[in-house]
Amino acid sequence: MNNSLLLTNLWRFLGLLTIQLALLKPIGDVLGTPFAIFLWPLFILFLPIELGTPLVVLLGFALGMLVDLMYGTLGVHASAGVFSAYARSFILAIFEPKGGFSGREVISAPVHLGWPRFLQISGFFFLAHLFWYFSVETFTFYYIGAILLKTFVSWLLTMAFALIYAFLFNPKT
Amino acid sequence: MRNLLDLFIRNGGFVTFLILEVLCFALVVNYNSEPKAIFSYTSGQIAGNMNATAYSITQFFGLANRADSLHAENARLSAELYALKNAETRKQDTAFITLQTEDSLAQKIVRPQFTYQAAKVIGNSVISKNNWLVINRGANDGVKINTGVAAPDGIVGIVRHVSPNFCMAMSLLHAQTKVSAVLKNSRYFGSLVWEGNDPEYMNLKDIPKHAVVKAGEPVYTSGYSLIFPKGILIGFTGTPTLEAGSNFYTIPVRLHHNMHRTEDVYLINTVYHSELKELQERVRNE
Repeated sequence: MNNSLLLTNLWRFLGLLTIQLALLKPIGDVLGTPFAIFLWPLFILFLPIELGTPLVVLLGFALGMLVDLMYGTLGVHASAGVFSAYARSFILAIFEPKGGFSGREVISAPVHLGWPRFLQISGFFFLAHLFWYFSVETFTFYYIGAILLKTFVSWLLTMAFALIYAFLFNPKT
Repeated sequence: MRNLLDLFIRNGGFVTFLILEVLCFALVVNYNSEPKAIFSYTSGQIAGNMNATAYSITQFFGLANRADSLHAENARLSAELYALKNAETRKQDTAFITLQTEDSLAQKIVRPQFTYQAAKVIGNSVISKNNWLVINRGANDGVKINTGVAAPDGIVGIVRHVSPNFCMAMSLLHAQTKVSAVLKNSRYFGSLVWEGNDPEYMNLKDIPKHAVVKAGEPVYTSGYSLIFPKGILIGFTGTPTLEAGSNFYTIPVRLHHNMHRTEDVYLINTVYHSELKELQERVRNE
């Protein structure tokens, strides 16, 4: 990761954290439990494709911990961040273009992969993240129905915001 | 070192994931009220199950200790059972009914005809011609001469000598022993004696030769002797023999109680012994 890449990601990190805490958290608080929107994992998804999984997982943990501190849910977002960061490598492997990623696709953004592939990748990524998040938050599969409902509703909202974000900022690196 | 680093980069994803998830899990159950409650409830249940298993294992190894206390309890209950059984036979006992009628006329509470006292045999022999038992109860415990001695599974002997703290009981395996016994099915009664041969067998005498006696028939105390209550199992008949010119069978009786293993016994005291004895003496003097 060179300096410009580092800087871009740092900005994205701060930007997403700000959006999450300043905009999405109040919206979630007003709308109530099932309508939670979690855009911050987009940072994990937009980390460079070639970045090693251990580092991605560590970064997912770090940002998750920051979000947890703000939400007062110590460990829950971090756990989901770690899981989706680990799942990212598998999702990217599944939706890898024929012949593999050529070095030109720095990150899994629509500008490199096209919108359909980006939709698939981000769709599965957020599904994994949100399902894990609500499972850990509930902490029992006794309420699996509620977990699935929350995951689905939250996924729809989050995906909408993720697409808006990708459309507005159109990240390249 | 570099190889180790390479190894970590190649496979470190899962390791990092695992370590961080464990860390997150610890944070979740420590700083979030609902997961904390669920976790402590579930782990409490698991710990409870483990405790229960551990408890049953220690219980199993503690069984030997408990057997001793159960043995003592068993002795006490056997004595009680004897008393209850006796209460049943008492109703059919004519001698007792007479006494009871007198008592009820005088509006007195009838005492049981027999009392039972738990005791231990502290000396025993089976190989002599005349065998004796030493028992750890004496005059201080209210033991009198002619008290019956029985084990949980059959009669053992009769008290003949009493000291303040101990008593000597004439074993069934004694030349002078004579116990009134009855055959369960044919209801004939006779005297049980020991002729100094086998400590497992005694001989039932005075059964008339017209009686039908089958081998294996149970033999009980008759209740006619003032020493043993009616209906204590003594043993089982063998093949009867009839001596030439005799009108009475000699029937070997295999003792139900093993005389070699006499430990816990009950001293059976006939409460009205002296009174009944006196009546019998009066008849004899007429």
